This record gives sequence, structure tokens and C-alpha cells, in this order.
Amino acid sequence: MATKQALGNEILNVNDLHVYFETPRAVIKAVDGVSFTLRERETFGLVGESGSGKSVTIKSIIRLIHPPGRIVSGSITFAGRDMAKLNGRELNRVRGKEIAMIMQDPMTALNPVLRIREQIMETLGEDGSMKADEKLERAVQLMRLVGIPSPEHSLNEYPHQFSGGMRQRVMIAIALSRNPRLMLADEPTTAVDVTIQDQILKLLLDLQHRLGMGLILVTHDLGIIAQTTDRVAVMYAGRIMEITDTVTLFKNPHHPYTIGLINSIPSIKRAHEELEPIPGLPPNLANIPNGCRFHPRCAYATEECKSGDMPLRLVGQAHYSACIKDVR
Amino acid sequence: MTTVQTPQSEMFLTVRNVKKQFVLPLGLLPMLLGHKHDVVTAVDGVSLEIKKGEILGVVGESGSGKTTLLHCIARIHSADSGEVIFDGRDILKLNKRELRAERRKIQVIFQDPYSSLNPRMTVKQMLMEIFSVHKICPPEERLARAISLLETVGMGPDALNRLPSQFSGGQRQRIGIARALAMEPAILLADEPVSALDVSIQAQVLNLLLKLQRNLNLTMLFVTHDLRVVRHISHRIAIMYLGKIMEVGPTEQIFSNPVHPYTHALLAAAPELDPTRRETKPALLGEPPNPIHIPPGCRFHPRCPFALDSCKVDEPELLEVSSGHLAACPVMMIKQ
Repeated sequence: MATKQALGNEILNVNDLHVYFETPRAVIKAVDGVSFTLRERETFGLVGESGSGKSVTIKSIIRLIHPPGRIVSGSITFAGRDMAKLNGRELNRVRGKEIAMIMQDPMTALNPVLRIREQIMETLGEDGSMKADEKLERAVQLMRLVGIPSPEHSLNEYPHQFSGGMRQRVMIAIALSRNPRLMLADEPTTAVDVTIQDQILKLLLDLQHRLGMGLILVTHDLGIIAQTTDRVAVMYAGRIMEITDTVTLFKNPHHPYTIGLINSIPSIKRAHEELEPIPGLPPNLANIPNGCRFHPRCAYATEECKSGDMPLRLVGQAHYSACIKDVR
Repeated sequence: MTTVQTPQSEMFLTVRNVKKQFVLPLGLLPMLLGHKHDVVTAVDGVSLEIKKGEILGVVGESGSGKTTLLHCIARIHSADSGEVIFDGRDILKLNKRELRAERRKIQVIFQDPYSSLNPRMTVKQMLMEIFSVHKICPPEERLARAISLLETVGMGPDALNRLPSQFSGGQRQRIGIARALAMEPAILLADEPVSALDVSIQAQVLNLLLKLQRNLNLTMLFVTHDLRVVRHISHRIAIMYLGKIMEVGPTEQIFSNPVHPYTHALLAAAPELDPTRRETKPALLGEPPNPIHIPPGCRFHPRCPFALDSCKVDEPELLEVSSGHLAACPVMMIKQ
């Protein structure tokens, strides 16, 4: 971390975001009041279990929410523009060029019937400023940048001819093709093996550092958070429960959910100790508990946790927690 | 949790030199052109021993053959060669009738509890069927037995009349464990039993498995890709790569004194929960080769930072590092 460049100005501000999925039977509150900011060149992690709303949150940034999902309220300001107010053409200009995204499963994100060459060149050709040979040259350069061996040859292959790890590298190459200022990565290594995950994450961080991008990484794995991010938000049932710098989160977690998550993970250091799992199950998002949404599973919950709004409050230097108690 | 050196007679299950290959289907055109079928070598001569009351973890990445090995032991796949000695008999040679009796003693917990439970059967129907097919306890005691099984896995009797779809993932995995326990097995084969679960739920299921092992002195083969999980639960660990065991030994030995370069790489690649300790270089370069074309010599040599010329030719044997700790890397053994 010592080599990290100084962070720049704020480029992204998500304020009180609500994203609901409205079905005839119920309203699923996938994201229910999420706010955070990101500065230039910063690596920000969103961590949570299934259904916590982490994926929906980053998809909302480039408005990849499809019906019955809907951004109900809140604002997303990227480089001074309100993303919610952009029309189709303006939105397309931001997607890819300024904000790029890589998904969990590269096989479904890549077009199976097009060669890699066509898929990279298509993105490069979007603003129409490059000639064909320039585009090819840039494609080769990008493939080399993400560590794909013999790029000239690989460009002529189809996605199925690549391994999972190589496909994810291709996705990163495509995402980088137009020099975005912000990269969104949604569980980018969940589908690959641990040695490949290690390669991909280190590649992403190296590229981010060299190209000076912001990076938002969504993952369920606290180990990945510990190894990659500067700052982190822990999500639970559509809300941020705790947000702070990564070192503080692991050294001095405040929210009982964060503490529970950390204690649930078997340590690579200690063996055969009883884990302290969080009891119970996450709530149904159509029927979120009143008060603190974690209270039914929380060992420290008392009467006052069962009602009222639980906003994030300052508990340390730039350290916010949505718990009204100090349990640590 | 000490694993005392046990005499040979107490070996509970012994796997000897098991091999399994899969012949890939060939399209019509390549067949007419006289092409040969591709052959995937999934398990390439694996030998293992499991002691009574022990949890043996088998770790490996995709394509390492860990699941195929488990399937061969459970006879879900039939191994091409080798022996699996259990109860003094080679299970690979049992006929259908003998196998059915023996299978009751060897139960599998699958990765995805949803696809391994019948969606149209309530928990009660499922357990009752097991009891009657395997004649497990007298009919009048069966309901009480079912309730006590559910209690063992931490669920109430209200689960009896529910369908698999009415449970969460963690609860389904508990049902899967209860089903395996219903047969009163001597050994459990667990295939990535917690991989599909969120960490808070994963911890609940891991605690349950550890409790069962302690209370019932269960013997378990635990297949996983997750080093944290395997360290937590296993007494001994075997590390597989492309169908072969690279290193095997007591859990503490493997983690405190790893010998094989692949073991080193796996340990280094697992993201640590400590943000103050970061490494910028990947632990291991390259990707596992296609199991259709396994490299000659040591199968790990193309990715190994310590490979010598001899590694490209000679296939290393598992050699003893210390008591019960073996590694298939002569180069690192000399360095030790």
C-alpha cells in the first residue's frame, strides 16, 4: 500500500439510493437508502452476503437496472453529472468510455459467436475516431496489457477457446479499451480458482495504479476486501451497516454484523476452533424488520434496536456505523 | 485433536492407486476423419488412508480430480483400476447386491443440497423411505428417529412436513446431512458441502459437522477448494493437482511447514484477512494445463518456479518429509 498514489477529488457520490423490484405480490427493497462517495484512484469495496444489495448498488451507477427493478429515489453524481437524469445517448457516452464494468461470469458477458478481435474493436470503434489498423494495434496492446500470451493469435479466437481466467482478462481488456476513469467490478473472480483469482486481482490493482482509475469492487469475500481495497462498506439487507478504511474495519470493527462476519470465517492461521456463526437467516427483503434490520440476529439487540431509523453515525475517524450501541 | 499414529489394522478406508479416465465424445465428422477420442485423466493413481474418527481434507482447484476421486470411492463413477478397501473388502469389486448393503455405510453430502434432494418429497417422506428401504429401525420408532435426526442437525420437528423448496440453502444442507446420517453411515464423503453457502451460514454448517464428528466419532472425507475451510475442519490434508496427490500430511504440518511448491502457491494465493499484509506479485503464474494433455515428468513443472530439467522427465513419487507428511517434490526435499 505504500506505493499508492495520493487520492484525488471526489468523482462519484451516491446519495440515499433506493432501488426496488416491484412485483405484483411484493415490493423487494434490494437497496434501501445507500450513500457513499468515491475519490479518484480510490479502491472501494462493497462487501455483503447474497441479497445484501451490493450488486444492485453498483449496477445502479451505470443504470443497469431492468424492470421490474427501478431506481425509486436518490441521486448518483458522477464527475458533476446526475446519472439519473442522463438520456439514452448521454448514458451510452458515459458507459464504457468513462465508467466500465466487469461482471462475474465473463462467458455470459462475451458474445459467444464473435471472435475476441471483433468484440474489442467494436468497443474501440464506438466514437469513430480510430482507423481500422489503429484499432487492431490498440487491441493487441490491450491484450498484452492484461497478460494474454501471443495476442495476435488470441485475437482470432472465440470466447469458448479461452479458460475462465483468460476470459476474465479479455473482459478487463475490453473494459479498459476506452480509458475509463472508473471501473466497476462485480464479483470478478468468483467463478475462477484461487491461484487465478490471485492473478486477476493483482492484475486489476496493478492496472488501476498505472492507469489512475477509481475501482469499486463488489465481493462476498472479506479476504479479497482485506487484500485489495482502501475503504469498504459492509452491506446487509439493502443498507450499509458500516463504512470505514479497510485497516480499521479488520482491526476495530464496530457493527455487530461486521464482527459476526469476521468471526464466521475460519482463519488460515488457527485451526479447529469453534466458529462463532451469526445465528438465524437474513431477512426477506419484501418484509424487512423494523428498527435495525439486523436486530433479530444480533446478540446485543435490546428494545431500542427494534424501532426507529438507524442512520450511520460517526464512531471514529471517518468511521461510520449504523449501530446505536458500542459493543466492541 | 492429535492424530496418533495408528497401526495398519485401524485404517478405516484405504484407497490404493485409483485411476479414472473419461473418454470425451467425438463428433461425426472427426470420427469419419479417423480422429481419436480425447481422453481426460481425472484421477491418476491416488492412494490414501483414512483412520477411524478422522476428517481427511482433500484440496485442489477445478480439474484436480478431487470430486472424481470421491465419486470413485462412493462408486458413483466406476474407477478404471485400483482398490478401495473398506471393511476388509474392495468396494470397487462388489456386485450390485453387495454394493447396496455397503453403500449404506458410505454416504455422500453433495455441494448443492437443492439438486440432491427430491423436490416433491417432504423431509418426512424422504427419511421414512430411507428407513424402510434400508430396514433401519422398527416402523413404530421411525418417527421419533426422524425427529431426533433433525434435532442432531439443529432443526425442529416442524421441518418434517416441508418440501426442500421451503428451506434456505443452509437449512437444505442440514437436511442433506440428516439424510446421510439416517443411514447410520460409517463414513461420510462430503463434496464441497459449504461452497454454495454464505459465510455466516457456512460457519453454522461447519460447526455442525465438527460437532457430529466429535459426538458420533464420524469418519469423513471432506473435498473442498477452500483452504480456510479445510484447515478448520480436517485432521489431515491431501493436496491434489491434475489427478495426483502433491502433498499429504497432518493439517498443522501442511500449513506450518509446506514442502511442495504448489502447496506454497495455494497458501500464498488465498487472500489473508489482514489488510496490513499485502503482496503485489501473484503467487503462481500460468494456468493449470488441460487434463487431456498432462505434462510429462512432474505435472506441475510448467508453472513451478523451482523446476529443474530433471522435473520435466522424472515423475516424482511421494516421499516422506516427516512422520506421516509426504510430498512429491524431490527438489524441495533436498532444500529442506
